[in-house]
Amino acid sequence: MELNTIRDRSTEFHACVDSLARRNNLSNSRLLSPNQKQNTKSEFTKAAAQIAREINATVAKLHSLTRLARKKTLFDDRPNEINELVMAIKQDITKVNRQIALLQNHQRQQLQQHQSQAQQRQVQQHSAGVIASLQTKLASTSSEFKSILEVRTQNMRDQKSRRDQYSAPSSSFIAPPTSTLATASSAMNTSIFTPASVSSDATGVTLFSGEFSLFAPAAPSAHYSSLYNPDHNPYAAVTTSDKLDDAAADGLRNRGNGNSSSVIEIGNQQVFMPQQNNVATMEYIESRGQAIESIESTIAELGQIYSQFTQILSQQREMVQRIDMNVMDTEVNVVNAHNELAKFLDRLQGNRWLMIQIFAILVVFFMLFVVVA
Amino acid sequence: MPKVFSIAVADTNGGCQILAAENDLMSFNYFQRGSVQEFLGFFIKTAVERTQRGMRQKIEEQQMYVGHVYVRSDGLAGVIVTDIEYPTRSAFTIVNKILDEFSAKFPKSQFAGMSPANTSSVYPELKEQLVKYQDPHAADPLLRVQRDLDETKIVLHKTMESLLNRGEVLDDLVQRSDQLSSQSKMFYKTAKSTNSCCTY
Repeated sequence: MELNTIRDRSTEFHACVDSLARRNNLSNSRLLSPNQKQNTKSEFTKAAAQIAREINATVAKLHSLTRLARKKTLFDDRPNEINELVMAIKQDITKVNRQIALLQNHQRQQLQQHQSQAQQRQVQQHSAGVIASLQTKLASTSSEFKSILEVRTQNMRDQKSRRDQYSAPSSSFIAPPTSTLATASSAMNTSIFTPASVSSDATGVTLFSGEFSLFAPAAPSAHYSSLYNPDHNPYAAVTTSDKLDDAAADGLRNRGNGNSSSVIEIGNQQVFMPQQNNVATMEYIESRGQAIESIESTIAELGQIYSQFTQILSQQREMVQRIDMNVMDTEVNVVNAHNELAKFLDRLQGNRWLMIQIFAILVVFFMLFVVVA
Repeated sequence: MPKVFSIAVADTNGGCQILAAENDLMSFNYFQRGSVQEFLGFFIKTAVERTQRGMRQKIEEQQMYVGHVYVRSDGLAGVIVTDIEYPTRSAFTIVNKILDEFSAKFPKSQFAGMSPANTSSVYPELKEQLVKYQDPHAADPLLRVQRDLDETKIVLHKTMESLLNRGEVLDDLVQRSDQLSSQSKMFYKTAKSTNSCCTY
């Protein structure tokens, strides 16, 4: 591809221009300073254009990777091409990132050197805008890349399950290479690979700190033969279709008998997979695996407990609300009853006074009648 | 209480040569310590010589002491002598860590001139680590995490219990407040009726 022949020499260009500028500065500064400024500005735009070109190249590669990854055939999967493309795209993204950072630093330096106020703001805004647009473009590219990788891992998983249906007996050696995939990914420091490392039917080996996942959990010796036998149908032997598993199978096949470790090339990194045959290491590795499993189950239990918690708590909230309502009703009732009683008391007292009056009048009339009669 | 007796780093390139060693022999009699130390040195040498590169080994002795040996593929070897209760996994974790630290701190060129005596002055961390790793939980992050998780689980269980108690109390409160409200309603009705019946 002709895109591979484009080399990035913008740093050399920058160095040339700087040396030239310095030389010009020493001899005749004022006449050439507008030229200098234009030089640096055009330098900036040249670098930005270079970066934009590289981003476009990366986007093109990403498109081709998308096409490859979307194919769903069972046997025509071309892992090598895909892996090469993935590697290339990743490198490109990091390179572009670095260049953008360089450009940003360069731009900041330029601004510190030239102190003219009027132009500075415009230049600043323009360069900031250019850098921002480059960065957003790069970010969108990398997010597309991530989604493509997720699609690819999903496809791989489907392929694996389909293969498992057809070649059942040799399908149980799955767990170790996926954990080393976890290592390679954490070692390579991309969070992009985390979807790939959560394998569907690993026995609870989830993604923990990469310290111990370097050592593949022990595989019983029966499965050694299924991988070690070169006469096997390659799809039955290499049932796991992750890129690391191909490398792992190669490493195991290259191993000879009973050697201590195998160095496996994965992209541009090496992963040591000790396949020890002695008891202590097996014990060590198994105990780590068990510890990890128990930790995982404990955490799952804790999660369950928490969810039960919240359930019970929400039920109790209803009860508290009911209590609240009841108490308020009680208050209202008591207040009203108190008012009624107060009225009653008033009436009673009032009534008594009236009764006394009437009684007094009656007594007076009685007295009158008695006295008259 | 699991104990670590000694930690040592040795170099297997060209015959076994002990590069650094730290011992903790407080549990032995004062008069036994000299012979125990010699025995430890001998044991380390033999174990390292008999172990292949890239292999780990666990050697038990008299049902009381265990030596964990790990020989790295580049020839550097680490040995830990503990008692039986010490979990194997933490022992090997410690060995790994110490080997990494050691190889980071001292380049290969210095290996020739080292011996336990003069290394202890340059590498005091080994002594500190020996003291620190007496507790296996400090060494192995897995163990630590497990222990913390278990404690958390216990705390959560207690909380669940108290929550259920709270549920019962709340239930009781609901009933009582229900009764209260109905009684107050009766009170109100009675008061009202008392008021309404006798009008003069």
